[in-house]
Amino acid sequence: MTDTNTITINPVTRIEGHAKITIHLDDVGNVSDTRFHVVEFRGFEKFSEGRFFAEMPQITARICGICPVSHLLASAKACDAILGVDIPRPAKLLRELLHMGQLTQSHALSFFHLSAPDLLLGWDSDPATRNVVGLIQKYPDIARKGIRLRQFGQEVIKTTGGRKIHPDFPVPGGVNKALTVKERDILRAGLPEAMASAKFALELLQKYQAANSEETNTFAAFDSNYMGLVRPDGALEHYDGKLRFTDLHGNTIEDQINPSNYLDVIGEATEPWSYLKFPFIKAQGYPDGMYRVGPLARLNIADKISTPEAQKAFTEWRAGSNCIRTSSFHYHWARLIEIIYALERTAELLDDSEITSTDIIVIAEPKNAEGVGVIEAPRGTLFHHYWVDEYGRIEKANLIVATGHNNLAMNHAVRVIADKYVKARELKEGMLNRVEAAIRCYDPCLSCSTHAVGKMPLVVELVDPNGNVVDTLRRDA
Amino acid sequence: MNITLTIDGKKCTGTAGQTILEIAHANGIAIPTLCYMKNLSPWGGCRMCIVEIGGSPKAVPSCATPATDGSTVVTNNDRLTHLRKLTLELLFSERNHVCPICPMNKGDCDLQQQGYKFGIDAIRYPYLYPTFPVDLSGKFLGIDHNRCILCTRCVRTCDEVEGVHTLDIGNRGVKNQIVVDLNTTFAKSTTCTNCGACVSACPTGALFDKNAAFHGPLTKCRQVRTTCTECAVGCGLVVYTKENRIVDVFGDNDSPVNHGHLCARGRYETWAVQRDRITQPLVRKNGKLVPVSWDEALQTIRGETGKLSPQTKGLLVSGKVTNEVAGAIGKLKSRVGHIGMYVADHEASFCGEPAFASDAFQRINDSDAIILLGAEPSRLQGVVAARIRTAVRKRGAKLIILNARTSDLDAYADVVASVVGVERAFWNRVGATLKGTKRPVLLYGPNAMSPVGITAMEKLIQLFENGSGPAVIGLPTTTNALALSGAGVEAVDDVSQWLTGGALRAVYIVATDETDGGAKVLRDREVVGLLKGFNYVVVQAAYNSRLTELAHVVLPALVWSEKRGTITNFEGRELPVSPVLEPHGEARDDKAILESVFA
Amino acid sequence: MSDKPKVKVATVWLGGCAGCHMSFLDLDERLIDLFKLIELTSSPISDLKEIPVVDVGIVEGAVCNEENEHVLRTLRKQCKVLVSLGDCAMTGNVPALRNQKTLDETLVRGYIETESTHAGEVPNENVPVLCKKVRPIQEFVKVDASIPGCPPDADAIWYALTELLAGRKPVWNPTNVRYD
Repeated sequence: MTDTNTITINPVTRIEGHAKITIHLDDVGNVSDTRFHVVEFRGFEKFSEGRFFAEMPQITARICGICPVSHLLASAKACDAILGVDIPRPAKLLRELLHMGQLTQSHALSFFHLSAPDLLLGWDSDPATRNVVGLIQKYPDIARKGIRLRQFGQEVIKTTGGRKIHPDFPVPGGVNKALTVKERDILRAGLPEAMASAKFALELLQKYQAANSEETNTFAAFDSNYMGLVRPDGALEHYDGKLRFTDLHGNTIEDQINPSNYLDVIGEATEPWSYLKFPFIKAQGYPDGMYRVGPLARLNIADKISTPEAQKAFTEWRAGSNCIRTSSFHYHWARLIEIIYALERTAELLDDSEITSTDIIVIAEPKNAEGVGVIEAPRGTLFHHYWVDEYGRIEKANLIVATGHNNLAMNHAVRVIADKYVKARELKEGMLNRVEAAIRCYDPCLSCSTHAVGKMPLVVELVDPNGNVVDTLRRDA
Repeated sequence: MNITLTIDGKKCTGTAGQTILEIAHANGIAIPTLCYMKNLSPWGGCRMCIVEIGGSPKAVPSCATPATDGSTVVTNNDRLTHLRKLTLELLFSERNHVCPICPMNKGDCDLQQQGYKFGIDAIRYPYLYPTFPVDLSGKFLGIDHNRCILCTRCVRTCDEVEGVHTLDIGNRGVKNQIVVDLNTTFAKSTTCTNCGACVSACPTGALFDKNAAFHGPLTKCRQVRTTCTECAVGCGLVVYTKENRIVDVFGDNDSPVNHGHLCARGRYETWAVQRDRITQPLVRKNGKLVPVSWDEALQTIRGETGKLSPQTKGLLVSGKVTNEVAGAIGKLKSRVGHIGMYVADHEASFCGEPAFASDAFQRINDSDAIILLGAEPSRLQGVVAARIRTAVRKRGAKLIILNARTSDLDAYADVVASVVGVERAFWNRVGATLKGTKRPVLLYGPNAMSPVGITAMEKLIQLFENGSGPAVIGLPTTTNALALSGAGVEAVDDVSQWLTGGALRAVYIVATDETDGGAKVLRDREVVGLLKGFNYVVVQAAYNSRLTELAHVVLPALVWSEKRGTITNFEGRELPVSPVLEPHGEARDDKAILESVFA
Repeated sequence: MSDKPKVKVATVWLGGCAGCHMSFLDLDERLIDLFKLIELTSSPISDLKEIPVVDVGIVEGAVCNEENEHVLRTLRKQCKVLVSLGDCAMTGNVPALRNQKTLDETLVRGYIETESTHAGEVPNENVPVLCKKVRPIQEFVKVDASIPGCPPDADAIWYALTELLAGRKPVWNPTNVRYD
């Protein structure tokens, strides 16, 4: 009989969604196991059955309020595949424009609103103010930049799609709203300030990384495989592209895989203690086939970035060689580089003469019994797979949502941090915050990943095997 | 007889028999409604239109209560507002009204609008969360019973306007549900005509047009009135457009022709079907049709046919063109020796010369006996078929069908025959059926011009006493052949005969926006061989087809939604065709093309 | 500079998508003004994990599991004015679509049947128990004000909050509310 103790962090905050962390100690107080429990479940894959397939973008948008655009686009792409149509080029441009708006706002939210409080106010600062309000109070200019950068992304979404959250813009066969010349010019006008804020954020982070390089280079750093979409030439891509898998050395395992064939390469396992499933690379089995997705992974697998400023930042990422970044902290770095890419790509799209075209939709009947839609959401690769009957009624749906791919990795990250910072029988509040911060690096979207929602409060108790509370830490200080 | 009553303190006059709601509306007083729909029998089920009469506390539905002379009515006070809010809360909690995922959610739903008007932000009843199905098998429409409020506007429209009564209510109590036929699906229905009137009637997102879902919303669309050009009825349309695309098409309630009703063709088939549109002029080079500029196409035609004499040139035109195009074609006689209009085998001459009554629709509506001779309105003039059904089912009109092929109307008829001769027993039976009828109507189609048809026509007219003959109304099987015959264009009943009888070397075919791309011309197999033998074939069409594929030059024509002009319907009424979209690609107006080619 | 004490606010999200909280953040720079009037205590976007005594509690999301119910009842006890934010809290909305299926078949589809799942099992250890039916919050606690929408526009949230701060209930009409 082992003498184990359990530390529970409940809920994990400043993330999207509901989770708790348990840290299991052995007899001598060393970490024996860690678990990242996702505690939400809503059941989109079941209650979509019987619905009209054209409603799926609007239904799946409600998986998440931070990244509804990801679901809208993946869903619309799956619906296009069911219709068996190639949407008009202007519609593709407009969908990608919506996507770039989303990348901008979601990454800005993750950095400024959710993670920057740790970096700027301090890991160990007073929990009562270690949040976006505290940031506004102590560093109003920085907070304002962050708010306005997120706002710009939201404005791109609203101007292009009609609404900031859950727009009904992407539809099977294209999009339902054209961009006017006036609207295009309004968006163009907002780019310089947004770009300045994005560069400011990157400089801020790089200063922090330089001053804390020991910590940031090793913060939950571990080897893993990586997955994401890339263009035919291997460049960073978010809307289209094909799948690439690389191993821990950055060598390509699989490349240019048609995302529709995801079932050949990815499997999902379950554990009794989490509502979030555990995707793994089938060829390597579970749990060896752990892989990471999202900004860090995308920059590790890409050969280059097609826009100049982002490419410059990317060269630093690669440190002049083919450096693979393994520290979980570097997700923040990758995220900020991606904002720069998103803004440059926004400018490119707005400069395309077809961005104001009204040729944005095709009418067609369902031709195929199933369709797969895949995009790179801010947090990683997102798969929507629908099966329909001849009338377009959803028979089955399978969703693998971005954050889900990182489940094994997040569990591993918690383990690595706990090993380093959790000292036997001494609970320090800042230590727990670092454990949560490991999760925050992944910017998880847990509503998404379990296609469900639930939440747990965060209380840390150290209990002995007999259930006696040895020590307690509460977050309300 | 006039009556006067006081509504909300205002003196209002109306006629005896009118409901309180009708008189209120006529006097500019608004009362909230959900299940009420003009021109349908009242239902009184939603209880939103409740009013108080003469100080009595009883809240009565004004849509179903006849107004009494001298009464005092209150349509709005705290108590009525409270009751209306409870009604809405009951409706919202009864089924699964999930606005976020519904295609009508941006202002196109009456239930939602009433919720907003009454500021509903809390539902005080427990949600039932029942399980209701979704039927997506309609050709163009679907029904989600989760969004239904059982207002029965669809049931009443289907029964009283389209006349087929496909929809009704099944089950009991809280399990009440709109059912199709004897509780089957739209696809398996043996009565549904896909006219889409139920969707137009539905106040929520329960019934919806599949091809319009999330393409609008309707409240943000431009609405343009035009006329349908699919048949000779000429129904009024209201087309909803956004950013140069059609979002949906509904009937124009103000049209004196169809009063808002449509058949599947005008309602859906002109826009909701995927078609292969010709967007640029095409010229055959090295055996393949390649896109070219208008200048090159016109020059090519001139080059190949400029030297030909008019006698060697022929022009065949579809009966679907506008009055203006018909007039322009009539003027080409000096340049083109043989000009003819084509409808279908042996139908052109009929279509060019049918009898028409200027009040044809009114006659059908008033009739107490309808005879269909050699005509198939179910297939070709859907709105006429609807009128026939409602005349029979709602007003007890007699129906006699003499036609070679069966149709759904046979089930409504008193006498049906596919072949007739002169048998006395048969005509006695017809006579007995018609005995006592006072306002008979005879609707006849091209088959009436066959020997059998003519015999039947003579027999029928013999049956009526002197001076009480039926109103004789022709139903042309194309849109506007009358205009062409009026312009002096001869009817071509047999295309292969027309092609071989003469010295034709070059043929120009105006298929305009026939949805088959003009392929009906090729129905007779000989025609393909004949056309291939010509030196030169030019086709002016909107859609690709087997006909355009064998042409030497193809010129892109406008479709109905892009045309401007007029057509003359089977009542002799001139009706406007107004463009609702910008021309697609390089397509041009039929008349403009003809003038460039034959300049 | 006002000496008026800030109104204490706590927010929670139950079974929803966080879109209503994101719409709240869409107040953008109005947030800076707002945080001069209100003090944000416990919230999914702050680090306070236990709900203190507050003046206003704001709830997003429907009740999907037992933890949701526990958190909702706790907030109701701790606050004077409870505000329902968004359609999920008010009607059940999209999460309540699962009420048309059984909980069992929903879990089996998610964790066993889905085509990418290998040797799956339904989770049942140290995760909250799911309710048989998803339900709106007013079926558990008294709600004092409501902001409909999926999500409500930032303007609607601003209107409602400023009305509440002035001691009034927000009043909705076709110009300022949405259910979609």
